[in-house]
Amino acid sequence: MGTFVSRRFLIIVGIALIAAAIFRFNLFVIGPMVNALVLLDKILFSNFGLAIIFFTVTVRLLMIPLTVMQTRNMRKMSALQPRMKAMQERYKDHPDGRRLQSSETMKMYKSAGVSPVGCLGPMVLQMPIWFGLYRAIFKAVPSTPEGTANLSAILYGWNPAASDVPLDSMFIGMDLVDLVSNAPVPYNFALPILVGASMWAQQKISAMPSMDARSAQTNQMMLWLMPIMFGFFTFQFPAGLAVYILFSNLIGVAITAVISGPGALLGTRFGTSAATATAAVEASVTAAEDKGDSIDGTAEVLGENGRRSDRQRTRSARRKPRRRRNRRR
Amino acid sequence: MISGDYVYIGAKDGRITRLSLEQSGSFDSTWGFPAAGLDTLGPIYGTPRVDGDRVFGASYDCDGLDCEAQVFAVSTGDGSPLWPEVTFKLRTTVVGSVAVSGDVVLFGTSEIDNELDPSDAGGYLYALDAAPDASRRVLWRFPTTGAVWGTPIVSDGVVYFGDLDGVFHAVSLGGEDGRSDDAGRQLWSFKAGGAIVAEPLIADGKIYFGDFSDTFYALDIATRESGGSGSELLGSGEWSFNSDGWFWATPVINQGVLYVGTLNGKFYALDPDTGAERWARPGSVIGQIVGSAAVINEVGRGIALAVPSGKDNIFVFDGQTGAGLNGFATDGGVKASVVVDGRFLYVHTVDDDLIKFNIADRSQVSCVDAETGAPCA
Repeated sequence: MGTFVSRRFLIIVGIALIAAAIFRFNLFVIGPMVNALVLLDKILFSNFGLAIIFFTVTVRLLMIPLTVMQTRNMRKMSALQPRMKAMQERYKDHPDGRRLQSSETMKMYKSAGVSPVGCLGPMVLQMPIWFGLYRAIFKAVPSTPEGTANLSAILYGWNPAASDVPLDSMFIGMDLVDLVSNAPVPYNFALPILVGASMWAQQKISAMPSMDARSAQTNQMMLWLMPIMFGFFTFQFPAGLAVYILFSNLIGVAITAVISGPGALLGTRFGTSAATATAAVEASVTAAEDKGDSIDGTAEVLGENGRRSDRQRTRSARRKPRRRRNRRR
Repeated sequence: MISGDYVYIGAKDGRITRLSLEQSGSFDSTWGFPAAGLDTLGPIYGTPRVDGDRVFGASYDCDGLDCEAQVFAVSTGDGSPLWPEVTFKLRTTVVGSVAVSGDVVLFGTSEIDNELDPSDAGGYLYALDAAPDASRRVLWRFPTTGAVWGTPIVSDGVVYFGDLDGVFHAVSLGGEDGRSDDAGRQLWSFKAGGAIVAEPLIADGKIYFGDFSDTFYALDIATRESGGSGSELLGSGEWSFNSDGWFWATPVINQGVLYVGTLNGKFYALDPDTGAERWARPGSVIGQIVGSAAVINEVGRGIALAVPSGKDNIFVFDGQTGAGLNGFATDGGVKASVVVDGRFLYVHTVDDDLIKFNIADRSQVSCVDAETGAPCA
């Protein structure tokens, strides 16, 4: 009960935070980011590039629990692939197959302790950070007098660096506020390549093996398509945002390598820790089956030939509400 | 700026126009710069300066970080350019207004791009020869570590200005023609706590200006010239006042009281000798105070201060008590300084509307578009 309440409470708090961030984006996202960047600039020898890199490292470190959760979830989902495949085969020709597949998949996830949302967490959280940082960079280092005057309204009175603006946006020979396409050689082409390459590495190391040939093909295409697309987009990003994405990807690769082992990047998926995960998932699913909480559900609702009779369907429909009540108790 | 029978306005679309001071406040559609066929200007942030029959100004425009500034001199008679090259161009930004002293035009810049002999200077104070037939337009230039966004002022042959590095400079003009041996030589400097953008005010031997560290300063010219104070310390007769907002607007002094506003909308009345607050609490404006306030005479009440808000409206405060009085309603924000001519108040909004108000009843006398002269929408 306590877990249920706390989970519901966390969901409500999470939704409230997301709503606040969406509707008061300047107040809850841009403002803290601009203040953090200005403060870091002061601490890091008035170097805006170092401020962005340090900001990136801090954000990624704060997101480590989510990254770990995401990696573990993906590993578990990967370990469930053979069972999922078998289940899909079993229900392939069943008239109510789609619903049953969905229901059994959720049961399987639950038994294995997999949260599909957990796979998306860090990615979803990254998006407002990217949007926020895109605007925060321009606001922290404004290029117009109006922008500078407006900065005074964003900086907190207690920020000790508030009087140190305007900041110098130059970093190792490039202007972090200017577009990457306007940066001097070699930054104008090196940054897009590095962003694309680091994104490829990040996707490669965290990719989940697929049993389905079509999915595997799609995954393989996305592995190349996304980095190439992002590489092109980078030309139109401010250089500071490109630096953020590059370092964010590199740190992401490092964190995933520590959690899962570098095997994925080297071609040996998930290494030894994955085998342990597979064994753990198998054990938990088997334990659930032993308790009579059918994962596949086949023995309960299907006949020997894999087709369910009308009588069985009626019995199943009658039984379901009672089972739910029992579970709640 | 008011000069002769006109109010001169620099508009965001890069045009200098003027409004007649006559009762109806009509737009002078026969005058303007640049005329058709000339190179267009970028946005004009500063106030045009009128000196005799010449109007001076500066503008800049950027394509990404590639900026070009243009400084110009035009005739008050027909708006024609006075310099053969039409405008003096530099690859930089000129944010503040120009200052004019005799035949010398002064303005601050950010760093200059594409120079043959690049330096580490973050900005410059430029002195130009205003004469139409000048053999060499640039008389001298003084390098600074920070960009110069503020407007310089000239007093007794010395140019005073601040930069974004927080250094306040006193530089020799170099005589009336800006050509003497000490032209462009630094006489003294003062390091403030933050960037200086506000145009300084000189009154009774003191220089008043604020910075981005929420601090307002009064420096004594005699003390500074005698070397009686350090470059970072306040000396005899000098003071500083701490507020909680950046200073951008030029202060105003009237009847022995100094008035100054901050970007967080606070408006203070200070003792010019000590820096002590004259009002129990500062006036409060909704929005930023970017433009300078103007002193208006309230019939039967004494003086009041008309303070422009960057959000909208002109707020009015009693000069003696700081009590809020009826203000002037504008549809858009006002970041330009407000000017007063007798019974009328002139306002240039961020939407490029030129509004003439009757001070007595706060009514709007006229409103025209600064670019076209058409009545406001």
